Amino acid sequence: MIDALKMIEIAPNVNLHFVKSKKFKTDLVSLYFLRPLTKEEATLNALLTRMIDQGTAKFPTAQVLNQHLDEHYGMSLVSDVTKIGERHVVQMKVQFPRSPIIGKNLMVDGLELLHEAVYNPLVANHKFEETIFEMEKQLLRQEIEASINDKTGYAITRCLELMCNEEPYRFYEYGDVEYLETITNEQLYAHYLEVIYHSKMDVIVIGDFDFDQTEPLIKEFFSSKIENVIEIPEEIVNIPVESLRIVNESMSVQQGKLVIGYRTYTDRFDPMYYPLQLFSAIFGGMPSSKLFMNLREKESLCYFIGSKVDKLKGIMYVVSGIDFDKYDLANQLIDIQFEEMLQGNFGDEDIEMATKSIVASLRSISDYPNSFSNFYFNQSMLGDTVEIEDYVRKYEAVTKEQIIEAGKRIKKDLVYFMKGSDI
Amino acid sequence: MMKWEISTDQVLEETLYKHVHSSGLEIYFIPKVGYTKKFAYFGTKYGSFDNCFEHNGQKVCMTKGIAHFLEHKIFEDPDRNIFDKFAALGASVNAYTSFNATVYHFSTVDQFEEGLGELLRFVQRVNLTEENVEKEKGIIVQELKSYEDDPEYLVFFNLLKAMYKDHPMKDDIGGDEASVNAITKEQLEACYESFYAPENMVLIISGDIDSSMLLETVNNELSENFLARKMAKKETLPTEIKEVYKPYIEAVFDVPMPLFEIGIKGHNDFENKSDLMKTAISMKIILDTHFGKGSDFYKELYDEGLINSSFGMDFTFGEGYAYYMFGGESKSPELVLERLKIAVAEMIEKGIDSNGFERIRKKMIGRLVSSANSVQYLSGTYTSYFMKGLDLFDYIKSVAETTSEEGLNYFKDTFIESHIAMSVVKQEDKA
Repeated sequence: MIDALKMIEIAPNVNLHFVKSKKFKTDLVSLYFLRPLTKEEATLNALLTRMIDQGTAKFPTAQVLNQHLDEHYGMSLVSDVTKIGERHVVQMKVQFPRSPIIGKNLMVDGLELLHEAVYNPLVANHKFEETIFEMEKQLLRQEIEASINDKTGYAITRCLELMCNEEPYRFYEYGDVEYLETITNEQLYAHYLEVIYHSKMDVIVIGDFDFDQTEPLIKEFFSSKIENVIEIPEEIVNIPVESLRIVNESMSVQQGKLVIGYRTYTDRFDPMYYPLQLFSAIFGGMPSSKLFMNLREKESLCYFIGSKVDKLKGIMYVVSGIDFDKYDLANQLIDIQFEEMLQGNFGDEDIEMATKSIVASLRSISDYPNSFSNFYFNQSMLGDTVEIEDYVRKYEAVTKEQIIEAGKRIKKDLVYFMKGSDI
Repeated sequence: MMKWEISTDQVLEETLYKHVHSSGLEIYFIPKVGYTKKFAYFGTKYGSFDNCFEHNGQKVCMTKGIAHFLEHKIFEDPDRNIFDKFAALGASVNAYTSFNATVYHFSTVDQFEEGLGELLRFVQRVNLTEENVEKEKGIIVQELKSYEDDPEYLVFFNLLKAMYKDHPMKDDIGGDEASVNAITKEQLEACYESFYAPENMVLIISGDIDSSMLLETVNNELSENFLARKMAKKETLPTEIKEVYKPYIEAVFDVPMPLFEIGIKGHNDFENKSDLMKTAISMKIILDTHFGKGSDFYKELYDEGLINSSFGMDFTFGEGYAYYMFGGESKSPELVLERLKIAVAEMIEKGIDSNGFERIRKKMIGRLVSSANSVQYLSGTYTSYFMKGLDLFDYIKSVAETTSEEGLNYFKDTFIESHIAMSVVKQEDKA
């Protein structure tokens, strides 16, 4: 439920979105800086976001900064990056409660803090504070290396990295360890200026706040002069599959992780995108899907199995955890179910269930401030102005023939299997 | 006429509706106007702790992992897959088994009443056959194996194994491959009859829902069979030693940086719930004040490269246990433990930083208010507190009432060498 909505350009390349929803007990203010996805960008942006919450000119240590946050009723400051298709987004957010029990409106404090963190870092002689820089560099390396601890997540990352070995999509969200080692403090500071003054920026505020009082504050804090904005190349979806690639890697795991990557040749701008999402849902995207019913419920091969589509890159993958010796059987069964989909062996009821499931998740975006904020950012990034209900209508209009047609475009590209180390 | 009892929480500004059904089933409703998604949790106070009970006049002890196995089997339906039934409504259904509870829950945007009916119906009956029990074993074994590949899961459950000698905390909730394979249809039936009884169960609902017909809807769905079911007498848990079972436990796993959890075994001997809640909150505040991101301890260890932002701490309690823990990643967990001992000794000597305590109390209030943004959090947390015999709203009230005294005394009583255990997961030492 939205009570009011407003969108304006407050400065060249800076868009402000106000979303009023009385049900929320917090206000969330988010800044998004849009960057291209390259090895260098991913690494520099990730390191930058880890510097931001370690100190500012006014709060010179993380300890002082955290005490300030605690003192303001557990205000939270988040600074991180995300990979969306072949784009990389730097996000800085502040969230604080709004309640009579607190007695004070924290909006001004929140905006001041966000401004301080982003525009007033701990800098001297065109460099960040040296000890923080060295420490965060080391910690980011550990963080990237620790991604291997989540074996299923790591298997997905490996599959997509191998599949897109010549496309920007292969780059890991937090960057590259080897490149990280080469980054100098001066270089990071120069990159910081590049990000805040040469990226398209979105400011999104969500909560139960007063538009008229807040707008001048936002203008005062965030109307920075942004020019020569970096260009974001569009994702290339039309990559042909020459032949199926199969990669097996050994790791010390008790259970094999199978990930199958597909090219769908359909992205978010294609009208076939909606049928494709339904295809994925019926095939493997929900507990009533073909993969779940057959591989888990019928064959007891796995506990989890799922299928997912990246909306900008047009890549779909299936992921599951299986015993090592069930590799051939699982592959065979997944292929059979895929073929069943193309043959149209699914009913109106399957389509209805998939549609309802997607519609429910679309409609519930508005229940979570952070998802809601990210939704508006995505809309802004893609130049879309449609509302959630417009998407709902698009899904509801999809026919069975369209779903089969979307499926027929799909090509299996790479099968990745993480197997045990003793085999 | 079935009636609600209504109370309001001043901190969260949320209202709680309560009704105790004549069968003993407790029903709660937290309205959340303006939200699209609605949630319902239907659970029984039956988890991995409850393996021994009285059945047909005799004491029986079940195979480990049976509560979790039964959770899987409740989803079995002779005519239509349960997941499909919910999917047809645009709803999604799931369940979890913990130490003290098994909870079935669903969420939906539309057709809430229909979904609630499905939820109530499928949990009130079970369809077991030799064949479908056998079939489930493969699925559960794969589930357990997926946890074995998770080093964070490993480091935590190993800590519990080090701390507890006889208390069922030491056992994995899902059992192991051998125990899962040993489970029979008859055992599952006995467990179902013994614990899926109204007096042992709760229904918690939250969302933008009209409360006027809710109780009638629920009442109409309660079957005679279910209402007639009586709960079995649970065996008391074995007496647990005060000290930790083993001070150190280690597992080899391919992790780039060692993971560690340090546990301090406390006690759960409180006169009443109010004392327990005040101590729990006081402990949480002290832990954050003296070891959290705003503390000298955190700053020093972070600056020295001994901990990273994964470092965290908490106080936890339940039936017959309470402990607090510190965990994260470190190149030298031993050194972190050493420094922790020094810091605690200093804290006990000098007393609690009272400004810091008030600062973290504010943070806790603010975070509680913020968490009420989420219907799922509110109803899910209400459920897990209920299963521990506590009311979330009472717990929140204690935040304003607690003092640093409660926690400091608890620290003094429990932070003893013989109560400390450490669990480490690290790579094989390279010779």
